[in-house]
Amino acid sequence: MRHDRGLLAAILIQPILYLVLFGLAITNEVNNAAWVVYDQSRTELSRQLITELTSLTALQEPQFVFSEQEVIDFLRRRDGLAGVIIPWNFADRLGRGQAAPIQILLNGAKTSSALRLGNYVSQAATAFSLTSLPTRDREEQQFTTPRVSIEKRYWYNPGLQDRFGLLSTMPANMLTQICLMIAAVSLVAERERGTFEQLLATPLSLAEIMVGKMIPYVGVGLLAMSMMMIGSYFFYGIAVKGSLLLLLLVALIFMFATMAFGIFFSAWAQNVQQAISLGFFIMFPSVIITGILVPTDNYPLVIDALSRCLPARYFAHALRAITLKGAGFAEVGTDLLFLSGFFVFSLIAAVRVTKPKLG
Amino acid sequence: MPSDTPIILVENLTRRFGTFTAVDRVSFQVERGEIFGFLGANGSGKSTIIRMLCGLLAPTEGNARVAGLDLRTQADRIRSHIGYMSQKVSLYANLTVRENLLFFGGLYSLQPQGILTRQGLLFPRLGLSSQDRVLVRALPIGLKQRVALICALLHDPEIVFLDEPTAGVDVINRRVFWELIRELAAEGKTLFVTTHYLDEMDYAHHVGFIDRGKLIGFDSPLGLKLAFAGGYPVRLYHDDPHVLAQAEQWVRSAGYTVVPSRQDSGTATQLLLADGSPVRLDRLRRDLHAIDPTLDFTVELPSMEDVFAGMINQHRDKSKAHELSAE
Amino acid sequence: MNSLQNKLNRLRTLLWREFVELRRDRFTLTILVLIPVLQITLLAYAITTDFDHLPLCVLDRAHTRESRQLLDHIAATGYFTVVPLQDLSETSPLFGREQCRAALLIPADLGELIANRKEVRLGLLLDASDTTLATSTEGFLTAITQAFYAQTRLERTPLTDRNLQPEERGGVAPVRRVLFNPTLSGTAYTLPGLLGMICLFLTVLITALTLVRERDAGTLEQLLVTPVTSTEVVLGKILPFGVVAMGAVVFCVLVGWLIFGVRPAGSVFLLFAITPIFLLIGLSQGLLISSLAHSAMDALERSVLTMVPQMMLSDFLFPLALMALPFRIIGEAIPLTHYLRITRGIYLKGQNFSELQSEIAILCLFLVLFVTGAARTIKKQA
Repeated sequence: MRHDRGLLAAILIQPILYLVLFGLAITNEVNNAAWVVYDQSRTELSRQLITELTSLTALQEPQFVFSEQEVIDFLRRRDGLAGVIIPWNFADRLGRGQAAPIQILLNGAKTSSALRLGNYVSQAATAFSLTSLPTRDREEQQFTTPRVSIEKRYWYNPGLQDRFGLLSTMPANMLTQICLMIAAVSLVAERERGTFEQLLATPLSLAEIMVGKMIPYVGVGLLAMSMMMIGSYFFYGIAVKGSLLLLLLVALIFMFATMAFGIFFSAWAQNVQQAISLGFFIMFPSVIITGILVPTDNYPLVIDALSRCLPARYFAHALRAITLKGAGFAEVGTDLLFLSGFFVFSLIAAVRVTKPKLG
Repeated sequence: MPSDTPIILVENLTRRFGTFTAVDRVSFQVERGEIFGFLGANGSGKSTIIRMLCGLLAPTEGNARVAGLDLRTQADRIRSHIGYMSQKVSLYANLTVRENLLFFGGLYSLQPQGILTRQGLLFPRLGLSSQDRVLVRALPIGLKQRVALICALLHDPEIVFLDEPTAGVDVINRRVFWELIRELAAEGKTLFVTTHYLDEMDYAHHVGFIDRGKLIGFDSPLGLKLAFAGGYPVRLYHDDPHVLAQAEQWVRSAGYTVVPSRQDSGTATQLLLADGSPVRLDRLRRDLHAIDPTLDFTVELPSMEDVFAGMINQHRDKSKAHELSAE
Repeated sequence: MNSLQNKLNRLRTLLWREFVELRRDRFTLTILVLIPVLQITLLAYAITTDFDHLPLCVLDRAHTRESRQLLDHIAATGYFTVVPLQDLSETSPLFGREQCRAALLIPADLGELIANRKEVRLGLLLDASDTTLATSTEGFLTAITQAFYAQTRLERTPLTDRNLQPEERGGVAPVRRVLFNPTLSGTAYTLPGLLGMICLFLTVLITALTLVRERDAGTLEQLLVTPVTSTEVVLGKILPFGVVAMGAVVFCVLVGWLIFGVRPAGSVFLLFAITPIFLLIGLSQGLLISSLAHSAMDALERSVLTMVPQMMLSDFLFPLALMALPFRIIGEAIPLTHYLRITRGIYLKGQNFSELQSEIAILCLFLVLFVTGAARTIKKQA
């Protein structure tokens, strides 16, 4: 493996890549979004509303348009996120103490951002009623509009920064990828090359050979993960709340477990190309449904069951728990158990499956 | 193309990879209908030369003419006139024998019918049964080689380049191969063969030795051996030492240049007939029999191995001397 | 030898061989078919923006009729399952074990505040390790509680001759209109993105691998000795995989339609007409990778490396518009980004050719760039 410098470099570039991408680039938070407003009313009140909305961090200065079609075009052609239409009778209705509907058009093609922005704007509009209407109506509001507010506190991530969650599980993503693919492929590559037979001729047992193959890659994987964690700390201030040692232990077991998993599956591959296809086949679900990108809380039964069959789920869970919540052995104990079990079973299964194929 | 022009003409062909010179100003020519053998150690540059002549690699300097076409400018046209069998058996393992034939034939724009006809002709010659629906993967290496050779011959090329065709093949298969090669040469094809097996070179019409990118020997096998030995090493046998001495005397007087001889036992004398041109052995035999009918002689030419190893050593000593004198 | 007839013959031979090999390699074929299906299924179910029965821990300090009504109301929405707490200290371990993701704190003086028409402040603790979940939870709870109290208020307000009807309640009433994906369906959102991913994956990875394997096995050299030109070799490789990838795309569209009910709002045929362009781009990428890679593993890692940033910065999972400028610029330089705009445009917005012209033009530009690059490298491969 030391000879395959390109491979090594490729593996070690990943932490850097992820640090940049997930730390800097990716965010779900809506900030300074562009929007348009079609103000049919053109009164003091509507202007006040617009100013109120603009003061949201989520929005920037709006562009004023003069027809509904233009609003729709903004969403459709220029892929804008939202547009607001204030009807001509806005001020009148409010003056009479009636409800004054405003339309918030959201770009459903940008589903999650639209949802968030929609929430913000709705809340701001409702709040406007409480603070900006003339006093007479304000008393009215006290009777009718809900005087309930929610004071929120964010645990584990006070700034509600997207990157906390993402970066804490990125090592899981990265390692899953690396370990699965390499494990699946390297044994098959050796088999193809014929050097595998030479290994078999030695006094080593099949299990020992397999484990021996894994060890150098575990080293590289740990190195890559450390790079990620150090980078997260220095650049984004994400410190591991819990025990670093525990984290490394979990990572170690995970890597062995995943590789054994991969080797087990690779027994069916006849050549490297097949091994790679197989690796990808397992890798996709491993990354998508194991809680790395999306939380696992809402999974339907079947998907949840599937997710529990993948080692990455336990690793991602433990990783997040230790990094952000300071979880200790008690909380991640079950994860460790599962991972170790995975390793043992996969290895046994791998040996069982490979033996007959060797003849 | 007139038949007196060589079918392969190589002039100062050079190939460098960065600072490393793999092929260094090699020049030679090959006649039509010849078996031309290329000998060299691993990394000597012989595969590079073949790949250049096949158009796989561009020369850094120098040029060549293959089948009357210029290597640098007409490489793509050359390809239809040549067949190539590479060192690694490059058949598609996941296809059957038949599919491989149809594939390679198709690349030369041969019609399936024509391909099958060729198959019918060539398979028996190479001792292959008509079992062609087998996956190549399942074949033993000897059979794979033969199939690979046939793929190279499907389009009836004028020249066939064989890069170590008998590597890793057992003795019997090697024999089969070389029989076919000689048959093909007799039919007028030119065969350019590289090999590690020095004894195979005795089958060739001309042999070239390559060492470290340079052509250090180019002649017929006999010529090379003679050059290396310095002449015909002849051993005379007779029970009677006097007869031997008499024979030796006669040989010297008959106009043969004789290098000082040795009498290593009572019954044999070793002479070296250094002569510019090949000795007429049949005449020598008649003449010697005239002296004494029981006089016998053998010609003990050095083996190709001796020649090759010897020439390489000479070459390397010479280049070392050059380096030393340059300092 | 280079007449058109011969060229076509040779191409036909190359294509024939590739298909025979593909057919023989049942393993890879099955996997190639299964991966798209798997992706669709998983993404459809896994990536949803709403949720149900999320455990919500509640510390009810008031224990009044109103608080119980509030909790009933929350539970009735189906979004949350109420888990009662006895003490605030319970929240920490529960959060740690992820047995609950949010905790609602109802103050003890709830009844008084309501009676005196003072503002009620509810406390909400959110597990913010997943920000999307946190904000969604917060949004839902805010909406639910506000709606609940509006209802309560109304019941308590003495009837005056004003006779307040709901619509006369006054105040700004935001009405949300969602264009292009009215149900805000996660599946509808991810399917077009998925098509792009599948195209990318199948083309880049498989092409890179195949060529490297061929080169390793020595057969590439054997090919180049024949009258075949390097262009023909390239075409002979990419066309079959292009066909396979196209088949996968059609398959996914059908699966999405028939099984998940995701219909394109625009023309499917437009989609099918533009997809080959993107496929060719991906295939050229694969060729470029194969020319640089030393071994199959190397090709693999390189492919993965190129695909990860493309996945992240192409608006596939994470909104490009929200990223900082340098990333947006990089994003624009990725062909996948433009292809996704086209697929989403067709699926969600029902855009037609004239609206998508600029994106299509950009794709064509990319095509020219990539293909010329790839054609140049094939020569060096022997």
